Amino acid sequence: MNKNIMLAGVGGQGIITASKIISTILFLKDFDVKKSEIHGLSQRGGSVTSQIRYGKKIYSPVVPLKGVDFMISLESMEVLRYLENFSKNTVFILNDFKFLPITVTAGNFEYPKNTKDILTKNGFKRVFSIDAHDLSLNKFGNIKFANSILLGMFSNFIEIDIMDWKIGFEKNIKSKFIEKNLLAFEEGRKITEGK
Amino acid sequence: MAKMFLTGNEAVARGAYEAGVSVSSAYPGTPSTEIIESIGQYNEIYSEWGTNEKVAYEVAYGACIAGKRSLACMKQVGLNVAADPFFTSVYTGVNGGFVVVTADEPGVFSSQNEQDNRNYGKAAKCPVIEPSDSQECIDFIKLSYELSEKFDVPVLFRITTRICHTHGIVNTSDRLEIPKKEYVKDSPKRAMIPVFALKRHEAVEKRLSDIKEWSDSCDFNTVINKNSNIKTGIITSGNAFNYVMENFDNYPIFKLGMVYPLPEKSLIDFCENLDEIIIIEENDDFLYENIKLINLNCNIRKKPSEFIIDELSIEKVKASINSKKLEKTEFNCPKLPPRPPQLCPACPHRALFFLLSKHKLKVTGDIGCYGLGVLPPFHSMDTIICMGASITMSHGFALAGEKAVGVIGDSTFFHTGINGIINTFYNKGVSTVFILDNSITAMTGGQINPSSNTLSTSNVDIEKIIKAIGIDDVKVIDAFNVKEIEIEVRASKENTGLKVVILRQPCIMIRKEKAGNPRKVDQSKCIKCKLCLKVGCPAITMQNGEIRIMEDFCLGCNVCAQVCPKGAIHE
Ligand SMILES: Cc1ncc(C[n+]2csc(CCOP(=O)(O)OP(=O)(O)O)c2C)c(N)n1
Repeated sequence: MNKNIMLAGVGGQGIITASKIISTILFLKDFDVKKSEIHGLSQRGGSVTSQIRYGKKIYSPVVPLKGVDFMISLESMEVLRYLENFSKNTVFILNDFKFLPITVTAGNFEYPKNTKDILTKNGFKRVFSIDAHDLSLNKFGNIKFANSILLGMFSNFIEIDIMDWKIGFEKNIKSKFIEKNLLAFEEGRKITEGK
Repeated sequence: MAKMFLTGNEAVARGAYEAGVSVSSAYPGTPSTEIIESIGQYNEIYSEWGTNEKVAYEVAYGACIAGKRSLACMKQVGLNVAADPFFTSVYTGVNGGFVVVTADEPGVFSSQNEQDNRNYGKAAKCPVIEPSDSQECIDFIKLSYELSEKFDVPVLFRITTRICHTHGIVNTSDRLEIPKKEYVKDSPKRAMIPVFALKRHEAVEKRLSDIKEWSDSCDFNTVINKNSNIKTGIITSGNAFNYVMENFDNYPIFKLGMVYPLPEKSLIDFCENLDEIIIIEENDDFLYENIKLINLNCNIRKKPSEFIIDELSIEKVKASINSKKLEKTEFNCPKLPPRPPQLCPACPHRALFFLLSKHKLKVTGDIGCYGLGVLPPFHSMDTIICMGASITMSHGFALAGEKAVGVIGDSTFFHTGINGIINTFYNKGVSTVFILDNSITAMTGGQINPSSNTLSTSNVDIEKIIKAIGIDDVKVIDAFNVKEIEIEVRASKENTGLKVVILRQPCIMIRKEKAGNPRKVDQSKCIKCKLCLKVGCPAITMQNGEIRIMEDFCLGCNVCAQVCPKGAIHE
């Protein structure tokens, strides 16, 4: 069975690196893998996504509607832009951190009140959310480890062992940051352990 | 043979390496930019950023005629700029193999239009190759060089955003060392004066029909499930093939790797026992229009016309084949705030756009990061057509009795803006042109251009060029200096000649240090007039009724502080 992972966030949040870590591991595990994202204009602080598909043989680089198995949202409301991609079985790893877009700061729009509630209301119930920026800041004194916390939360839902995750980090992150990122990853793992 | 995980762009670069390419040139443009960036890793291939696509095309083509396999790459609209050498080089043929990559953008993620460049192949009578994934990018590039040399013809290699930017698994091989072909002068073939050109047109037609015949046996095209008992066949190519395979992999499928000219005999064969065929292709009905001309003896269907617009999807392909409507699910969700891209903190384009907006000037714009000047909070560009059009259209506005300032970046100035400024000057035009010189081609990710300072390239000073043209009214201003820029913005309303204002500050991508210390808001002085929000800086937000500057994001350009009427923003 083919599996589909989607990451969403805001340009500059590190979505490409997070996506690379996952796809590197799947590549090394001998799956057929495709990873697709749009570069260019949206990277200047706009909405961005990355999609990874893996399995025996992958054709379409883009996930079919309702086809996302795992959704990792690096920002709170961004996940809501892609509702048609989800099914009842989609597992959501949600960073409940609000990165206010200019349309909100300028007072033209209201930021949605509670992302998790909106997801639940639409029948998407497997939502695991945390303010990963807050946690990263508290534990490590810097928001830079939020994405690794989220990857840790995700890791309990996919059959990849810890050693492979380590390789994924080593191949995509500067060596001086690896240790702290792995600690953040462990921190995230604890959150969804046994879920 | 090593296994790798490459994007289509990286795979094109790899294919060029394996094919023994020696010279490559390109002008950056999404989604093609990473091809030349990736070629940079191969010492065996010389690569350079040309100043525009026509230039890049001709440089690579020169190397081809001199005897080496060479490559030119561009985005879809880039081929418009290079169309002149493209068309005639099909007449003049090759010596070493020559491939031109066009990266088209179904979905218009980062472009100014959605043109389908397969049409160029037909118009120029040049073979068009279309791969479906990264592996085919490698394999087909290699085959394209063989095709190019076998038939003495340039090859148009068409990829699309999803192919360019999708990582896929590939098997790589070693480089084929291709010795330089001997250069032998042949003016009747290569110097296109009218008598020779007419002769060459004959050769072009003959060659096209030869390629057509050969295409029936070439390795670009494949038939899948020939013996299926399903009576509906699918003809497809490129990324559309991937969408077909998601739900219809048991159908008889003709996958075209060469989309022009078409393999007529094989297509007739394919349709022999079918009741109907449906043609699945992205954007224009290019295949459909051309396949219709072949006598296939079966019903031919195409996708619904509305799917010509925007990229295809698994669902659109399914709807097309099953003749069903697209389903749409409704959700219970509030209207989401849009998240438009923004100029970066400390972007040197910000102050100018704040002021153009404040003074409500008409602006003939150009293409670059400053295109974001169209969006809120600036709303301050009237036109964006193509690279270079800011300067020329500003002159045209004046001729029709309207005053508009032209705004253009450094890379775009060297691309085609330079022609326009000479034109305005020599025709004694009236116009104010702002050149945003950030020393880099920022929009496409930071490629160098003649305004850049690097050890391996020579710097060209825009101010000196403007003066050398003969334009005396030139000013160079610090792009963060709101007061001085405002003087020029005001003056542009009264301007009666040609004035050039160069705004200079490096793009933050190439800044070695911050522009200054992070700014703070003195809440006791702030009157919440929100004028600072009008500079459109991602570091400035309004939270719980208070204006805040996010310290982590602020790079200290000080533009917001100069705009604040109460002096409430400081270091
Ligand atoms: C004919 C053509 N070629 C390439 C592009 C892609 N492109 C868009 S903007 C741009 C360069 C912008 O550079 P510059 O003018 O220096 O502005 P900056 O982005 O640095 O502000 C390029 C190459 C295009 N849109 N059209």
